[in-house]
Amino acid sequence: MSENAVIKLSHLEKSFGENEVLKDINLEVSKGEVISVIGSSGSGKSTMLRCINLLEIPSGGEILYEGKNIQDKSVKLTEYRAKVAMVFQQFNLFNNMTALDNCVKPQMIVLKRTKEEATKIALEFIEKVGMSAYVNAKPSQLSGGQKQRIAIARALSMNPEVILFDEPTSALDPEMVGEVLEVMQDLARSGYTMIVVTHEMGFAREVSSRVIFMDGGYIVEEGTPEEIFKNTKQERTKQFLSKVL
Amino acid sequence: MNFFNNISNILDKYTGLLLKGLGYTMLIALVGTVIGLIIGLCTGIIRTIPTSKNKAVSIIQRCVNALISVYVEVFRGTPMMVQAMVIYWGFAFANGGNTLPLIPAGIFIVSINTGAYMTEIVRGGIISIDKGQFEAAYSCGMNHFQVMLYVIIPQVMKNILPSVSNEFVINIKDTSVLNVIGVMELFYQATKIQTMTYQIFETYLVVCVIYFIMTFSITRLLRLVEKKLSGSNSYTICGSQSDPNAEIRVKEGQ
Amino acid sequence: MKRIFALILAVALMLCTFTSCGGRDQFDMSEVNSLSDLDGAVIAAQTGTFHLDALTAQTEGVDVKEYPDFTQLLTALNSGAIDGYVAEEPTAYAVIAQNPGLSYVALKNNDTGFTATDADTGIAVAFKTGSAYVATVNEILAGISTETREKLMQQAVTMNANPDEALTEALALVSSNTNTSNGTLKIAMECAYAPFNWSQTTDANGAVKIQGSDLYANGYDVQIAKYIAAEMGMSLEIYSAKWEALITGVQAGTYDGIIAGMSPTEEREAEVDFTDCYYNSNLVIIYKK
Repeated sequence: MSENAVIKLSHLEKSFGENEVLKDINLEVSKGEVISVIGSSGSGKSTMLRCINLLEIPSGGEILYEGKNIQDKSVKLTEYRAKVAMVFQQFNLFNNMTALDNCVKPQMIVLKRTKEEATKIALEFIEKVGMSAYVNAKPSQLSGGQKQRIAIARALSMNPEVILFDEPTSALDPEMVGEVLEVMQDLARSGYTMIVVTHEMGFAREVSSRVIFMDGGYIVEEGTPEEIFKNTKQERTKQFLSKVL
Repeated sequence: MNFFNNISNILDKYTGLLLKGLGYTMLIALVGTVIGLIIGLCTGIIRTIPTSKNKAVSIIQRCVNALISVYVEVFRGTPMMVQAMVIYWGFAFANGGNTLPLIPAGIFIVSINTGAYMTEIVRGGIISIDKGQFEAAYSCGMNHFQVMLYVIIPQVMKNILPSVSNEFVINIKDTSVLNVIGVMELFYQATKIQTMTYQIFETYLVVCVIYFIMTFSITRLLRLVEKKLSGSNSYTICGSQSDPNAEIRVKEGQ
Repeated sequence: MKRIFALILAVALMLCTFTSCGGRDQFDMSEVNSLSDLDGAVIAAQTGTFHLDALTAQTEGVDVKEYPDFTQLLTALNSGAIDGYVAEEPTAYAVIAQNPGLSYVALKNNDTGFTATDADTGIAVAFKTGSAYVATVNEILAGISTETREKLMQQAVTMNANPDEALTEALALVSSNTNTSNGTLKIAMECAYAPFNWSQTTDANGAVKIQGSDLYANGYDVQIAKYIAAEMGMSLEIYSAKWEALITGVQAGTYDGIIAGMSPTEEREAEVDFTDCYYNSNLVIIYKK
């Protein structure tokens, strides 16, 4: 294995009852990589992402973070999760807090930052996602695209090592997809380590450093965007791409 | 008229007793509801703890959950009057005739009774919260307690407030059953006054009006609080494209 | 406008219900001289008393009703729900003093009326089974003459008519002992059974503060309790309790004794120990004139 892998999945399996969703997933993510995970619905993309954050408990295999098994007793789950932020398809902003508090409170609660420090950091990232004007708004007062940008600012405020995006634009109206993708492109350029489950082939092709195609619980093909989109090797990948492109 | 004379006599002579009864009724109902709510929140938090992978811990969890279920079923399935008798006299027999002090005993009985109902109300409140709220909070690195305290409970509170106020109004009325153990709430004072005036109808009519004024005004008051708590439906945009210092108030739905 | 109309309608409906309920044929009680004359009358007694047992067992053709306390019996009578209720003679004096519209028939013991023993209609002090107080109290009670008892009962009736006004004469039964070094005697009663015991808002006529309440207790039982406690060199505490809770409270040890116009019936003897009787009364039926 390479020395600088931040996250390594080895023989990862997950089944819900009889239904095997992930079968033997092996993946290494290095620092600074932007990985796009593509594939049809039910291929296990989201489940893999949720396993990485332990929102789903794997049925088998290991997830290593900086060389340590995260299910090991020596690894504190809350500390690990603070380093691996997640952006959800349904935004999941805390409904009881304003946009600003959504970014401030988790820092104070989890990272024990002072209010001033947390607010400063939060405002910085809120500006980065272009939402400065809406710091006082409640989630119910924001549009989908605005919510997702705040959700990204919340993830960034925790200064994570890795950000997981679970279909961040799938629940958005088409005209709002652009604003979110723009922010994500910006992040990719800034050197964040990102794993993005997405249906946006444009994003996968232009922004990511590596693309993974999943089908039936396996990683079928992986490579640079060039390799996947231009020199497709696997038949199943070709079929999938012919449908979505 | 005789009837109005009787009423004014009761008001004249026994205002002190009635006011005292009113005070105790309010005290017991209010404190009982608050403690009941706290019990409900605690059991709500305990019941939603994810099952531990550790065998011993998970067995303890299952026992605690079973205990909570028994508590809820027993206290919801029996009348508060019966609970009051059992607890009060049970304590007396177990402690060589020492009885619980009456007001704390009343508060205790109302609290655990309300707690059983609140447990269910809070559970419903927690279930109604979107699963995504939990996932987002966990994925930030919060532990179960933090998730509950900072994210879930504030939302639950807002949702269950109507049920909680309802429970409070019910408690104002239901403290009257505590007269069986001699707690000096409003109904008990009425039973005392009627033995001195021999005027059952007039006495209870006065008490009836007092209860109604109390519950009616409190219902109105709590509705106001609910409205307030559901939050302002406007927010401020800080700065605009043309003027960075502008503050624009935006109303929801516009 | 609609709301006002609805309100008026509701009130009118209520009034209709009230008035249409009235009109039960009253039984003429003034002709009653013996129990057999009660055939067809609606007569009530307090739940859990000998009165109720006697009424059920010793009369025929009577519609027997029961109410949990004395005030409700009186209210039932005044409202016309019953034709009369069984009580002890002193109770009748007290009630009639306050309600001039009422009268009573004395159904003399072992004569034309109820058959009853002292255990049924006499009243005694109750203590926890095996209590050493019983013998001591018997000695004290033996020292109170029948004349004193009758005089005290008359005074109780007078005091009950105006509880807050001072009697013009001294109480018939007062202990000269002022030493209270032997501890506290906790006595329970209903505080709602005039003239034996009642509640009042002032401490007039030597009324005793009811524990944990703003009210004072007075009456025949209270004066007896005061006398007994004083003679025993103890200070007295009076507790107000429901009739059903009196015996339970003594068994639990919450109260030391009961002085509540309670008759030493067989069933009660099984639960607590009784002293000799401190008053004997006849059963009567109170009715509306």
